[in-house]
Amino acid sequence: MASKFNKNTLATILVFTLLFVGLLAVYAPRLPAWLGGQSALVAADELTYVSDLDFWQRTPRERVVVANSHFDLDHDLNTVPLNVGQWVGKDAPETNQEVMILLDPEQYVQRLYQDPAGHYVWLTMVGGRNSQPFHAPDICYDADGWQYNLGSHPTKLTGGGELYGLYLDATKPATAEAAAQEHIVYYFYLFPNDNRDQRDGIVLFKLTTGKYGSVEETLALLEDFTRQFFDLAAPRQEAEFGHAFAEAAVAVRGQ
Amino acid sequence: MRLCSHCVSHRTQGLWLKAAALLLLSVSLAACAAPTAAPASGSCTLALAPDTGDENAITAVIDAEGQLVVAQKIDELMALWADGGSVTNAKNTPDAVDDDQYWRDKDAIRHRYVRTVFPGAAGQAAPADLQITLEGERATVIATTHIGTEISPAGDRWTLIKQGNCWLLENLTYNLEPRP
Repeated sequence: MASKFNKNTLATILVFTLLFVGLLAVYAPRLPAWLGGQSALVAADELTYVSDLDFWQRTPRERVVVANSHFDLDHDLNTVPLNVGQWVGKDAPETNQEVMILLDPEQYVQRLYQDPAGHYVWLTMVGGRNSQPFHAPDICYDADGWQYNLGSHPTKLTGGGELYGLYLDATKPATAEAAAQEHIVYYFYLFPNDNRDQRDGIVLFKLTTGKYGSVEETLALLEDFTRQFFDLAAPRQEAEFGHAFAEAAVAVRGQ
Repeated sequence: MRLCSHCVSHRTQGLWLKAAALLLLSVSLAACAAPTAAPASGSCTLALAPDTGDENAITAVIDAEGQLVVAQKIDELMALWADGGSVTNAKNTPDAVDDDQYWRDKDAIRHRYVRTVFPGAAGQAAPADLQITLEGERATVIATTHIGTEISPAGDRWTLIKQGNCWLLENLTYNLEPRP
């Protein structure tokens, strides 16, 4: 009887232990988030950011991204390189003081980049710690008499994953004073951590260009430009709780 | 038949261990299954009675859209939309599509709600006079816009698509009423 008891009990304890270990494997990585902590990855790596299409609430397009420059307000956005890939940039400060008065940004950096084929891309980086500097571009274009269509577009990154931005395909009809204009605008927001507290600072990464071919061809150009600054992306859950993202981030760093 | 207290104790202990193991197994299976379960969408998010007919389900989706706009509940609102959905501003020229403005796919629709519709802080958004045309798994609904003080007869045209037993929003075209 005693040996039977021991055998049954031991078998049950073994099953119990195996299941417990399995549960730990499933849930343990999520414990820090449940306990209100920050993911080790985001907290530890200063070049890791959270990108999203909006800064009000998380959207399904929120991604954890690994950048190769600093896109946060603890750093000067002017340190973002002027020469990236085949693109060569020059500073083009905003001269309209009304923009600065209206937006009151903590940082505002504007560049004009050109590639060897002669394509131009404006890069505007706006940093702030409240919502005032972050007017949705479509609202501004609307107010200025442009017509536009709006959609989202993924940028495939070389290290893996996709970073999403919203795009505007905007047209301003010709007037007596000016010819018709066409702009493609592509933008997203960057947060320094996954708390997304505005007081920690938000950076708007916005590209503006004329139309080169179709909308899709122009977006492909902007995708190439964006890829120069960001190497790797993954959905937040995957990035925080999966080992693959951490390993890929290390690999990207080693390049 | 008598059982010794020693044996009963062991038997109870074994039962408790098995119950605990079963509980852990259930939680483990739930952990594995949860991420793969597709979230409900469209009319299936509205807790309608199982025998709700197509027209009532479609009306419920359009009513819910208005109520969720007022409540500014973006995630619930987006759950009403089908992937690939769109919003079109006909700009009061229903016969001319060249000047139409498009928000393509759910990211753009979400953006329009958050940055254009919600700031208007509508206290009421209830479409009225619904004219529903059913064509198989697709429906077209003409409605009178009624947002706050704005009333535009036949100003909205909705298209909905049926996926499984759920009706989802596929397109909204607004400003269809010709300019006076």
